[in-house]
Amino acid sequence: MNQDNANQAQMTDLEEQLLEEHQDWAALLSKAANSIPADSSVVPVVLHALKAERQGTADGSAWARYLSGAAQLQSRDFDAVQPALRAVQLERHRVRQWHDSITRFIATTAAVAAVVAAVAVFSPPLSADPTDAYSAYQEAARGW
Amino acid sequence: MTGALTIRLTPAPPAVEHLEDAALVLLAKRGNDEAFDELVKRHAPKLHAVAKRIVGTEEAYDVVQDAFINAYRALPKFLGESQFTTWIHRITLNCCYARLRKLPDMGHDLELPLDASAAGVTSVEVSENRDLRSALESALARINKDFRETFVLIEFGQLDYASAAQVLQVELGTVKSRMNRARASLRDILEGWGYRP
Repeated sequence: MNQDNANQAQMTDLEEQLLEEHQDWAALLSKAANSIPADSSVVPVVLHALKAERQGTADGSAWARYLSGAAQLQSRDFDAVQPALRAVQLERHRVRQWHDSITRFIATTAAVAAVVAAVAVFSPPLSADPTDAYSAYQEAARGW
Repeated sequence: MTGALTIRLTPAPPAVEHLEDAALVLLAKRGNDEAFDELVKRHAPKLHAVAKRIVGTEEAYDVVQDAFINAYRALPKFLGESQFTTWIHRITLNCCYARLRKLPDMGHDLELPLDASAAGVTSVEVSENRDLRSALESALARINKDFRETFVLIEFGQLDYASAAQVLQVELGTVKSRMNRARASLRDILEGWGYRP
């Protein structure tokens, strides 16, 4: 019984010694770690990077959205858009043809009107009554 | 009715330097860049101290920079379930792992071990803090990666055990165990070099 008590006391002493040593070492390591000054030179590096990040986001937001939208377009989106684009192209062609026809008609009409007007202006005046000419001819013939 | 003019003076908001992290995070989430800059000033040096001992001196700057850029972008998603310091340490650790995956040889620029006995230094001389610091850096580079991370987060990142457990995503008991084993490993190395408490 006494032997057991002695062994137990010896073990307790050993544990206490180990614990004390452990605590001493823990304190030493902690002291050594804390005595190393933190390097503040990283702060301006990070702040500079953040500034660039903010400027990039602020100035490039429109482009970022545009590029993001373009990147997200899938091939099936193009497939869906193609018929509509084709229909728009055809409609645009039809309207252009109609416009050309109207323009041509107006130009032709204007040209004809101009010719008629020119003839009317520059041709010699005609007698209003043809029978007067005929009677003049008869009088002349009688005089011969 | 005298028609006297009443002027209400609104107290000026406290300077960001005097605000707690949680208040700074709230302001930063509302778009106050000055508040986020203050968080950088507070935490970047400690994070640099942690990253330096995981990826090496050269890469630590980039790691901390990446960590804060990631945090700035993810800030709207940060719900404040953990402390900011825990969150930013976790991001930094992820950035360290990403760097190490990208360049597996990285971290080899950690300072070379200093063998005090080989250098003919006496125990009295090595008890000076400057030497001990240098020896600790060297010893840290030699111990197990998990033990080193735990030791670095607690001693250099100044996290408590619970926060370190959150950052490392392990149980609290695991952190305690790793910390004890880290100390034991460091002790073995430093004793071999002639250091004593």
